[in-house]
Amino acid sequence: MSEAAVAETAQTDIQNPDPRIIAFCCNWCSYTGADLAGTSRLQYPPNARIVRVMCSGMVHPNLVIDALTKGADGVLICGCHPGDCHYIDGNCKAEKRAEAIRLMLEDFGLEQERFRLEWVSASEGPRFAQVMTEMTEAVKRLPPSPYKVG
Amino acid sequence: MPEKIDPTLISEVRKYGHFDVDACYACGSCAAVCALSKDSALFPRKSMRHVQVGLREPLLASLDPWLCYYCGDCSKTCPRQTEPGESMMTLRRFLTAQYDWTGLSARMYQSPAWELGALAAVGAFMALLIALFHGPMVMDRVELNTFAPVMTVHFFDWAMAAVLSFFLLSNVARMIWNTMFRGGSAAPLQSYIEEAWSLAWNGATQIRFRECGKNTARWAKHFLLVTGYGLMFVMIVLFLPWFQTDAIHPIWHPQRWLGYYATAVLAVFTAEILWSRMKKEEQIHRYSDLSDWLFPILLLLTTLTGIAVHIFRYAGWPLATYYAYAVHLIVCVPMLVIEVPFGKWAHLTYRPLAAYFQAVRENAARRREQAPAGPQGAEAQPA
Amino acid sequence: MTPMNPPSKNGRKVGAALVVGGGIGGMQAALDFAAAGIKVFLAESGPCIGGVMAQLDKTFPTNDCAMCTMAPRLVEISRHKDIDILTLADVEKIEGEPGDFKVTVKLRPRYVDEEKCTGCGACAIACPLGKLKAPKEGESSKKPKPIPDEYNQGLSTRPAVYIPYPQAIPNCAVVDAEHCLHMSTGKCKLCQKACKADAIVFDQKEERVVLEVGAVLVAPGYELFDPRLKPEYGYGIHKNVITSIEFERILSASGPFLGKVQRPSDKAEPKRIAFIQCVGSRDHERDYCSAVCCMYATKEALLAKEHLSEHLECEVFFMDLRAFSKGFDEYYQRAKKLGVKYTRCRPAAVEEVPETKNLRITYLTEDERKAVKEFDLVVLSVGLRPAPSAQTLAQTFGLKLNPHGFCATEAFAPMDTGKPGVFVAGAFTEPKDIPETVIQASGAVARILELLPEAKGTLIEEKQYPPETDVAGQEPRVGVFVCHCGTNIASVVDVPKVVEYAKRLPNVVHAENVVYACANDSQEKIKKTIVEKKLNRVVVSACTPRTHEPLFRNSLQEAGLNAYLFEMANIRDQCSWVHMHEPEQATIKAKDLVRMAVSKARLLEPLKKKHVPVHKDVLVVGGGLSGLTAARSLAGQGFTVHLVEKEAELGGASRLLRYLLEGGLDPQRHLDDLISEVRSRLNIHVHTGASIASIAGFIGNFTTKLKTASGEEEIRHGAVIVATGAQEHRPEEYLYGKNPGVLTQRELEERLAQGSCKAKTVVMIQCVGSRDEKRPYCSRLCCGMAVKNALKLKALDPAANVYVLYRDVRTYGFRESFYTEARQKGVVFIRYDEDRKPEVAESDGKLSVRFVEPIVRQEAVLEADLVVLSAATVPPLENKELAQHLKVPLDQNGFFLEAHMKLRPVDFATDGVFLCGMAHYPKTMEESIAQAGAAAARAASVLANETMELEATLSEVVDENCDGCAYCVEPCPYKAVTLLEYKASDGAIKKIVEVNESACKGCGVCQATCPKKGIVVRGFRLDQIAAQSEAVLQEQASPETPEPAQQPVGAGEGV
Repeated sequence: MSEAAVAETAQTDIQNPDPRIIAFCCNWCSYTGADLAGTSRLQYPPNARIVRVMCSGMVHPNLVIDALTKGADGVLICGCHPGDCHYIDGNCKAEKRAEAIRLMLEDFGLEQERFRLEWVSASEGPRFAQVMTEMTEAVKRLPPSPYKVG
Repeated sequence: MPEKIDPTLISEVRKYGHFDVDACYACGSCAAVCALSKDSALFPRKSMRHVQVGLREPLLASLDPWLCYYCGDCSKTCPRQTEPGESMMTLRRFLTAQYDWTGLSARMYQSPAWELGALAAVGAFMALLIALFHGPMVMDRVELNTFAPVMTVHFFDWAMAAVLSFFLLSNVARMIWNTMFRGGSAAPLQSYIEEAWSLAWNGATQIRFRECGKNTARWAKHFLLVTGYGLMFVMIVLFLPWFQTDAIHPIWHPQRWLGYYATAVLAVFTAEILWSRMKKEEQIHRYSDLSDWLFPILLLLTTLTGIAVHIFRYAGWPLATYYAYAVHLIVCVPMLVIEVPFGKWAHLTYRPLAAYFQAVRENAARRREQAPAGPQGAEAQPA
Repeated sequence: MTPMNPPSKNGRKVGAALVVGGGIGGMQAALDFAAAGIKVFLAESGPCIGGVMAQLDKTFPTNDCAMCTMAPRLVEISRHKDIDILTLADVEKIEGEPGDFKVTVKLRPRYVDEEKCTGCGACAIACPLGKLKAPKEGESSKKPKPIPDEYNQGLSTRPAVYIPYPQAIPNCAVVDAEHCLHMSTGKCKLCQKACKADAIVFDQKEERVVLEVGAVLVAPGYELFDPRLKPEYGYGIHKNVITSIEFERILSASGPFLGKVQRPSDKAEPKRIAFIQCVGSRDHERDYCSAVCCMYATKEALLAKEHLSEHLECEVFFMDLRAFSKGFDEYYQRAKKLGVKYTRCRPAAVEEVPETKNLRITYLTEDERKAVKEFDLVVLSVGLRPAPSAQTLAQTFGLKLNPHGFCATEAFAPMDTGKPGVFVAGAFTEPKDIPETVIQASGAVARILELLPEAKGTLIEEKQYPPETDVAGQEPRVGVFVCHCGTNIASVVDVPKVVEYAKRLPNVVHAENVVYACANDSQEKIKKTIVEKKLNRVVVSACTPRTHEPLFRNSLQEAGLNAYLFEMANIRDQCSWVHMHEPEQATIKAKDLVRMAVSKARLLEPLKKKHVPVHKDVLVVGGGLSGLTAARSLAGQGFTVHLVEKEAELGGASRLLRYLLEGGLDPQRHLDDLISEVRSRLNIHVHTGASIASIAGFIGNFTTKLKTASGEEEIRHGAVIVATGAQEHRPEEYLYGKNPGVLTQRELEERLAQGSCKAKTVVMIQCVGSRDEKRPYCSRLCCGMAVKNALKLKALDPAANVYVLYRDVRTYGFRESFYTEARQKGVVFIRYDEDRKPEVAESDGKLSVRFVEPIVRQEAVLEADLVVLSAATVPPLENKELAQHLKVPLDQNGFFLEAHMKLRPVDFATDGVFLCGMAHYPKTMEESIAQAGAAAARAASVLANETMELEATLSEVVDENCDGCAYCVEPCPYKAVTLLEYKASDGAIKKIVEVNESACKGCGVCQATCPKKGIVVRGFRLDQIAAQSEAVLQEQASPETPEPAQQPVGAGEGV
């Protein structure tokens, strides 16, 4: 999809203009990538809130499900690219768990788009900004979280 | 049959001049940069490799060294500074010696004493002949044709041409045998016929020389030199009675301006060659074998003595004219006898022939490709 | 033999070292020194440390992100109390003697006060020179030209005051005096106005400092060849001809085109890229191989395909593909499979097509045809040259340079310079890649530690903190400090509103704003407030904890508060900088981030770093060259060494080496000297004929049972060095063992040494048992060995005919010049293809070798007196058992697998276990000696401590929740979790897991696996993380509405 097309659909399909997104970022790659997006002054939508964890493999599936069932519109886990994990292969474990999480989403009546696992390295500031933008755009096209209070 | 490796080949080739193949790691940049090398003749790399590895028969069978006109681009490009261009020069000497069945060529290329000695011997023999058989020396006016009766000289010319042709052609036969018949599939007669025009065309124009390197002035110089030399050769060998006359023709007479043109061209360009070899500025002049010196020196001397004969004759100095003429012959004859079949001059024959044979090979290869794949059809042509 | 370090005359030994060069080698050395108790001065001539590795996108052969692996080290160095970084520093003079040098260092002015500069970058934004546009082509402009950015190799521009790259250490701006407007005109000063920290000092002067150090390590690195010297390739003439390092920047996400692969002329995506190898290497003027280019070109080709598309054409023009090190050949094969094309030809020239700016290359194809091909981009694989400062350094320190201009060293002491007390490491000695630089750096550290054993720890100061206030059971009292970061935050985020908001958050008893939270005055203010307001939790809302958390934690400790009662909210990198145009949203987000931080802070507990005692003995497994060298080094450093050798004799595979390629030195003499020294040292216990029955324990505390002829023996030790070596493979092909004329290289070497080799014609066959399906790796040594023995044959009999049948001649580094020498002496090298191997036949007892000469495409036969096989180097089968004992991995070829291929080449993922020599991979004596030193230095970093300090944020078992299901045991990457069975008081067998804190790294994989909250990571407990994510979801904080009141939550309460 071209950028213009994305912008257009974003205009027309928006169901939730101000979603809340929680991003669990690993300390060594993705959080550093987020910092680099900052030092590079790359602009992205302000909807996500980053929770720093040491490794993407540290994120318990319950954290994701709890966040989504307590009203988060989207949850993102960001880790190192495969092979880059500071803890050998924590990110691969995160990937396996992500499959389980995706299965659980259905049980809770949640759309698959509400959860993502992305690899962002420490030197990928632009990629971090892009992931943030894509996730926000995707979640905006969904209705607000059915679990949202009030 | 697999080729047997000959470890002595490289040391043998080295006797013919520079061949610094040691530092070569066969990177291929020489053949890549060469304007003349192509799929069917990837020189200098393949020739270098023949020698480096010790593949004697494939080297003898190859035409590549003759297809190189030595622009020097490969030597300039070579990351190891192995001077492939000069190595090709050395290979031309080596091949000349290999074609020569008398073994004289090998002896003379490998030993300055032999080469200079041979020249001196022929020169001395010539001097003796003149001393014994010259005609009366008319002293009150210049009568060259009395001193050296033109028909005698003319007969001598013919005799010498016959002897030289014998040696040269028998060597050429060996070249053909080595390159076109031995060890490989022979080209069909049709290919020879179809490509015959290229022999004439290349021989007359050396047009391939133009494609060599970026310096087309070299071709022009060489071409002019060849025209001068060819013209002189024709006038002396075929038309000597017309050319060597006692009558002084008016300036517009073709005999005079043809003579002037040939002499001028020969004098200027041989002098230029010698000057460049002395300066060593260009890549191709960095190395000079004795044979590289002797050829232009002898040619220049022949020309200069020819000019001297001409001037003295016009000035009306009989004795000076006769002596100059004698010296002229004493220089010219050894040059022709020694250099043409056995020395550097042989390239005059081998080079156009090699270009012709290469064209024949390519023609034959095309035929094989077009023909339905026979037992030999799939195989690449022999190197 | 290695010169011993002479004692200084006055006997004084200074417990400090100077490291010259802040590249990856210098950084490794600095960390090793500091870990072993030596104070470090790290002098770098540029404005920041990091070297060339900081410019790399990824590293071969793992395609690891360079910055990801390096940045933690940069931060660690910048924080280390025992490492002083001196930038813009030139060494001028050295006086004194080994152990007690005085080194004068000139410090060029930075024009920025490092103490005050916060690295916010406001100055760089203010600098008018940063906004200059390049004049259009043909436009002659008198205006100042934009300044090329060195970090991006001039592919982008930078201001005159700048931070060299985002992660630079020191993270501090520098004024480029040459370009600065103020420096030339006296005007401008815009940066000074922009700097709220008052850090720009235009009148800073050059300074000189005299450092007292015990030894010096010189690691200035290298310079890249300037391809303008080879005009035929058109660099600097054709726009789309670039160097490999420029391409590296283009590939990098932080590069000039933000990771978009574009060609310079028109920013178009290239469809065809050519890589030309050996530009400035292996030629007549530079008769050495740069050792890294084949692999970096392969990497760049792979990355380019990854970035653009698998259909991108990448063609590498090479002569010999030198994939000689661990994992390299496999990497090369992978690249071929992924469609990178390798063409064995050195193109003579690159021509530009004027209309398209495409580039045309004429070359010879593998099937010996001449081809012309057009490319969109040509990358020149430029070679490595000696460091630009090599000459000066050589003069200053009295170092000898070799004919290539690199630092001259000797094979048996590869890090010694010949000048006592001055050592050398990295590419300054020979072109080399990152791991080998890191190995040499650590190896040089070992040499210096041998020099200064008694000075260790004398200049290391223990930091004293006031006693910690006990906050257990206290209601959280949170103090929040919101940073303006000059205008970096405050210009976007409404800081006062955030402060007001913070004040209303539960348990917050204090909130205020500070201009620069990291500046000294603010630190004092924070400390004072902690005491005055009795704060027991602190939140700083500023920049990134990755760089600044240690600073604030330190302040907490100085105020008597546990360091872990601290949390940061990153409202700069995640807020003001990335939402610059949405100040309202940014302010809302800042409040949210503060609320999240406070939520977590309320749950924080004081944490203690555990200390485990360290046993000062070390076990070295393997009594070959590497084991002996490591043992000697550690013994020289004052540790007790247990050297275990399975054979009855010491010496290992090196016993078979009779010559070195470099000539001159006698390996057997070196080995004999080494053995006799090891045998004579009282603090080395040699156990020959011994094997290992078991190894238990962990870093600092291992217990090993040995089986010897005299029975069992138990050794306690703090570290292990694995040096089990490797051996020559017994070939099964080429009539080996069937005809007495067929030998291996080592057998030939033995014959040569005995003078009993009378062969007239010798044919060597390379890659016997290497680079095939069974052993896909390159045995690295054999090309050098073949050249060595060929030269020896020629030296004994110049008329001998020696032929080497090879696949690629891999004479990397200076070995190349011996390859040249061999060719000059008439040794004939003939390539063969893997699928057309030579055939060795015998008739009437005579050997003949049949092969195809690939260039003239001619089948040929050689009659040989001897056929010499360059047999593979294979790891011993016993490696498997040892690996199991140590719980460390082997690679697919049976060699030990290090923790990280680039930056931790002698470490294992298991702490306290180190690796050296051929147990790691086939290598030369010189390389083994360097790595043995490196292993010794790394082991010393463990053994130097009385106790090991463990991270505080490690896993912990919550006894009441754990039911012993053991789900967490298997996933733990460090095998730190084990299942225990015990008898409860009621007699029932109960199960529970236990965490070995010495092995745990706190990654939390266990925590995320546990279904019962039975295992958690302190500081990142599930409830603490959950509190943060729940805080996000609490009613959105609009600027006006006050935060709804919350029940205070006590520390430790779970989710």
